[in-house]
Amino acid sequence: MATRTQFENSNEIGVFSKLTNSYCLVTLGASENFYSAFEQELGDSIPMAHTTIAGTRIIGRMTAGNRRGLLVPTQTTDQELQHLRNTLPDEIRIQRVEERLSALGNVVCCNDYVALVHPDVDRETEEIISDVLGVEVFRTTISGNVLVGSYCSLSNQGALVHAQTSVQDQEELSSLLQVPVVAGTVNRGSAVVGAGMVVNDYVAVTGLDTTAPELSVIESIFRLHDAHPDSISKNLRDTLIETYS
Amino acid sequence: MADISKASYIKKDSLYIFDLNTKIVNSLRNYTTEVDAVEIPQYNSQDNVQFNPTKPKGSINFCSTCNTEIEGREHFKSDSHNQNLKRSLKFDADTNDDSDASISGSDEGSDDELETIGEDDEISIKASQTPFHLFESDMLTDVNEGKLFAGYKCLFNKDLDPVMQLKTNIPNSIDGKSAVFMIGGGHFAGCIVSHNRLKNQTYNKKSTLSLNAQQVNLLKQKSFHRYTTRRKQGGSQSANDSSGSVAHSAGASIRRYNEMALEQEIKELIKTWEPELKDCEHIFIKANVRNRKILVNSDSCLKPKDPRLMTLPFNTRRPTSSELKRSWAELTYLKIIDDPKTDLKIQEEKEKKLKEIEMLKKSKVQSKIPALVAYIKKHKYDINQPLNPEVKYQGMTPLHYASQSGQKQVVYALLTTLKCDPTRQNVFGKTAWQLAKDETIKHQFQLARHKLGESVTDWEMAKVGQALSKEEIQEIEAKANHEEHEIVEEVMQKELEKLRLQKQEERKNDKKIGGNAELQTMEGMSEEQKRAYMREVRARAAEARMKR
Repeated sequence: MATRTQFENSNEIGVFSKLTNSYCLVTLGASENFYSAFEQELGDSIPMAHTTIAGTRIIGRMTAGNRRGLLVPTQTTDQELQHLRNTLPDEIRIQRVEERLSALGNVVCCNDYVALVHPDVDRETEEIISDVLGVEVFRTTISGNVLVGSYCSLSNQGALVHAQTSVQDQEELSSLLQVPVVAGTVNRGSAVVGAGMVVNDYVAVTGLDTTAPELSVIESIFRLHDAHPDSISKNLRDTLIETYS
Repeated sequence: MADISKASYIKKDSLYIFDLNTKIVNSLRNYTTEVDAVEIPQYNSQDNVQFNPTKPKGSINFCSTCNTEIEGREHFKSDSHNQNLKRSLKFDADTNDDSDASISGSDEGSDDELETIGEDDEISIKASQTPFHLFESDMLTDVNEGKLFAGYKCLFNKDLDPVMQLKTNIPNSIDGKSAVFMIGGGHFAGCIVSHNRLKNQTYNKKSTLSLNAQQVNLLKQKSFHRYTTRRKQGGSQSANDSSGSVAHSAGASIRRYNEMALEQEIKELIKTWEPELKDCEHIFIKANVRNRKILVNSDSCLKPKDPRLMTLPFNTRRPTSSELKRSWAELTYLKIIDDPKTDLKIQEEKEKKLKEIEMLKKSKVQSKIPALVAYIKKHKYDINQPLNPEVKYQGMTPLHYASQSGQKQVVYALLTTLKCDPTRQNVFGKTAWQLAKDETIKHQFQLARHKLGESVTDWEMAKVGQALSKEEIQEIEAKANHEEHEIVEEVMQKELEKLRLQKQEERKNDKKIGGNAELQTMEGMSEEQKRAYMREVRARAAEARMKR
């Protein structure tokens, strides 16, 4: 399911939260409405951490992560890191990244298998990303924008990219990501889809301004219609049984 | 001969769009060029909802960044791809060696240039959106060869074929009527016009209107004026008020009142015309946004989304009843206009020529002369050709022009380096020498004659005076200078003498009657004496007055 919410009159949900298949980060000091939108959808399925990153509340733009790990910028304080370590499950690796482009959420866009990164990201960062998150890393742009994290919203089911991405670029992206790609908008026409929403394999949270057509595109591309945590494993089990039987 | 001219002559009268000559109608064909082919992409809300994601393919075999065939996704991790990606971001251009689109060999250079010019043309045609539907016709021969019929688009239905409409829909509405409204500068003019012309109206010579405009059949008309605009300041009072500074002068309040009154009057008029307006086929409005709101609002009978509402697609003058007639005539008659394509070429030629003249004008400064020479040589202009447009320049060659406008350096350069022919004559049979602005220009001709020698052209035919060397010219000029100096000196002397005489005269007068003299006599008197003296003076003055 996709839900709509607002953070202090801002529709940029992707800025103030981070959602993966195994954990969720939300910023500190938001209204109860904001938190409950997440809690309602996620329930007890995954842990939710209330935190700041480097003293800021724009945690969604500062961090990058998937179900295996979480990358935070060097500016993250020790207390914050400690808090995250205590809140998130042990199997999730948390790593500080010394990277000039410190807003990792803007320069990295990843699901559990592939990461798209800004073309200027360091070699070392690239290695850390592929090690910690266990993904293939591709340097790329999205319709000429280097901030791939801002202009792309990605899950294991699909990807939503900047509305003006050419068909050729979409094809290229979809063969890199190995998921269907669609160009679209959130929050009533905003092309910054990465910052406007968060998504994992069974939940999407978008800004309150998102229109019904936008929402329907989001639900279709991320296959959220009948998705909930259990159905995923069921589907997976079915395929597993099929392959190993 | 007479037959041909008769055949090619198209009476303007027969081009009334609601009553077109059948011959013309049948000859019309839609004229399609890029001009019409430009389709403005229309927003379709349905498109947005359509959902067709790009599905991943089994294998990828082309990289758009590197512009090469690739094998699999591994290419995207390669250094060369990353290099290309970064470069493409930096220069926003292709860096691949395979494509030489940006690098062209020297031998292909000229071709490339030509191509780009061609493209520009196309763009500029496209950019010039025309308000007309254009029609080709076999009737356009002779003088009108290559021209087109044009009718204003606003009279046509967008979705139907224009020619078909001219044959059926539009003539069928001849019994209909339309409305035209104009508001501007406190003037209002409105009318309801019948599509049927006043056919028996003959041309009235006294009227300033054309016959077509005189034949316009106004069923109802009304025009009035209120004092609403600020004289010499432009703009309406309300515009001034809304800019923040509210004037409290008497004029300002009068204009404010008049604006309200005008609005009121217009609204009342619309209300009384409501039954007729309902039957109108088109309603043309020429007004700015603010004034338009007076006519078109949710309260009036003209609703904002009424499909009949249109703006007049041309400039109009002050709203008066004759302007209404003129506009309606302008709107409803087919025009014969030049093909926009050929028009463009002519335009280009003109621009080139104009540039030439521009260069001539600029080259007054000596340092620009090499530029002029280079320009003319580069474009291979025939320097002896008369300037364009000939109507304006009366057959003057560049040499004439330079000579007349007193550009001596240019004259010399044209004669010596560019080898202009000084024997050329303009429309009035004058050579460049005869148009010379002053003596110094003539000296340039003579200097050129001296330098080039007698054999180059027929200097006598060019009416150029005898050859002079530089030294001789300098001598003459020095002499002339000297003479001039002397004359000036003489005049100055005379003036000074005059001034001196004048001053002397004035001084004499002062002694006779000036007040100063009186004061002088009063000096050295005691107070009592002074008073007595003054009394005397006053008494004398009073006596003098009594006498009168």
